[in-house]
Amino acid sequence: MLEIRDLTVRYGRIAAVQGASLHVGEGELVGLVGPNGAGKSSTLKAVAGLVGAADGEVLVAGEPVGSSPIRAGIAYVPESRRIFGGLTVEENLRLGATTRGRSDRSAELRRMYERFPLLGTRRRSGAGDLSGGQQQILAIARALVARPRLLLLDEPTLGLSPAMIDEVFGIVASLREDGVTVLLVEQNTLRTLALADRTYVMRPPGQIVFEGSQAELERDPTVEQRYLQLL
Amino acid sequence: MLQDIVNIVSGGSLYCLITLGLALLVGLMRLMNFAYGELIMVGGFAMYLLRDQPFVVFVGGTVVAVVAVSLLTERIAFRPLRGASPVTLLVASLAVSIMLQNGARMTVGPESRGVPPSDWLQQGVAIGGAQVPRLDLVTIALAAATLAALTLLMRRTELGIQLRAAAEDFEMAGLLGVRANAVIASAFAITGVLAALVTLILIEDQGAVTATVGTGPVLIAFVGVVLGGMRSLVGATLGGFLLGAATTALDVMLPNDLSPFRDAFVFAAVIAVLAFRPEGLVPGRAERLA
Repeated sequence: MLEIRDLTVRYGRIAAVQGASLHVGEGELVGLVGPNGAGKSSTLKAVAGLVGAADGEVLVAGEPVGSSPIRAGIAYVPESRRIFGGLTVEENLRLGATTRGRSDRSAELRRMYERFPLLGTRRRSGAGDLSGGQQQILAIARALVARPRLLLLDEPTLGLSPAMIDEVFGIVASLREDGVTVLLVEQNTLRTLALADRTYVMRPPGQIVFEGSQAELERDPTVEQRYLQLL
Repeated sequence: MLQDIVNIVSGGSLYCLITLGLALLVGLMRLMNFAYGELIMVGGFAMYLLRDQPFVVFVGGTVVAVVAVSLLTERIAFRPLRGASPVTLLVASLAVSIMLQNGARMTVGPESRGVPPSDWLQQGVAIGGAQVPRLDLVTIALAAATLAALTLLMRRTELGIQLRAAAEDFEMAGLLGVRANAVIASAFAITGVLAALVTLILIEDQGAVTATVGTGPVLIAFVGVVLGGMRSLVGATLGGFLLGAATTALDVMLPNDLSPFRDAFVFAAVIAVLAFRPEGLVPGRAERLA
């Protein structure tokens, strides 16, 4: 589904990602973990088209992403959620369904309200009035109404309460059951390893140093000692 | 007394329309559009050229001309500068303003052109024993209808939701599939319609058009936007209305020897308001425009 080959991302003269390669198969839930400044978010931003690749390529279903990732089936939930606080919950969801046909939109919204009843009960509330956790659920729902082929989640549990972190990880787990392909960037390494089919470990400056499942990681104590204990 | 009240509300309504046209682009793309005044000038000259045509052609042609020029300025001058700093956009809009003004001087001519006022609009209407100018009533009705239509557009339509979302976070709106070119062009078209409505009232009242006819209104719009709050259409509506109502009220109330200082009183009041509310009357939400 997603193929990143030798990706390099630069901000001026500083390389945030250096020659990173990873792939996400159809229906897989893949984690990308690493310390602050490892280049995880920059990798996601390159896939979402927010930053350009200085080198390498990003392919989705074998094709370059192009100028509109959402029309290529890629939905992105950014680190700071970036919901539209001045709009209602429903208006945020309608925006998420921009690329769907007019007749599909109502059905998609109904589907989201069934899946996340909280959003249904607060559909007319200002999105800016929701709690941080509720806003995160709205941000994920807003991405899902587009029925993406690939969902990019950038640190969805950042700044949330323990109970809300459990809820968000529960939602991410349910996405896999629905067959949505997910690339999850997280700082919560242990929970990501436990949840994901495979996990990539990144370290500064933007290099991938490990790829595998939780079981494979546990069989390779050097990686755990060198990198994960730093997280 | 009733005549004075209608006069004050009408003045507020006109300034409110003037301010709204500018505020839309300020909110959406941080564009303080100096060329907004020249949209009014284009409308004025369209009214002059179409002055002998039937009413529908006269009004329709004016609106179409202003919207077309508004869209042209977006396509030629502002689209290539998308994402530039507000200062760059401001300077570019000043350049567009000067070009349009000089273009008008070279083509239509530098002198004032008369547009005969409509007899019907100039007549008074008897209400409660007072004679109220019909143009004032039409101005109030037009402003109320425009506000209602704009509210419906912004709240009930996909375009309105996209405009509000893009004003709040342009980049995120784009990531969700909102097409930037279409949304911004729509905002310029709406601005054009508002400028055309302002022109129809203003030139009807003044009876003539010159190349600098838009200079006064654009300054009013700037002050109205700052007074109301740069990030809020509600604020711009309020700021424009209060500015216009205060200006007209002073026209009515000031004794003859003080009336030349009307604007000094108005702007002293604006400064006093801004001293206490530097972000304007309706500050709006924090935004993150790219």
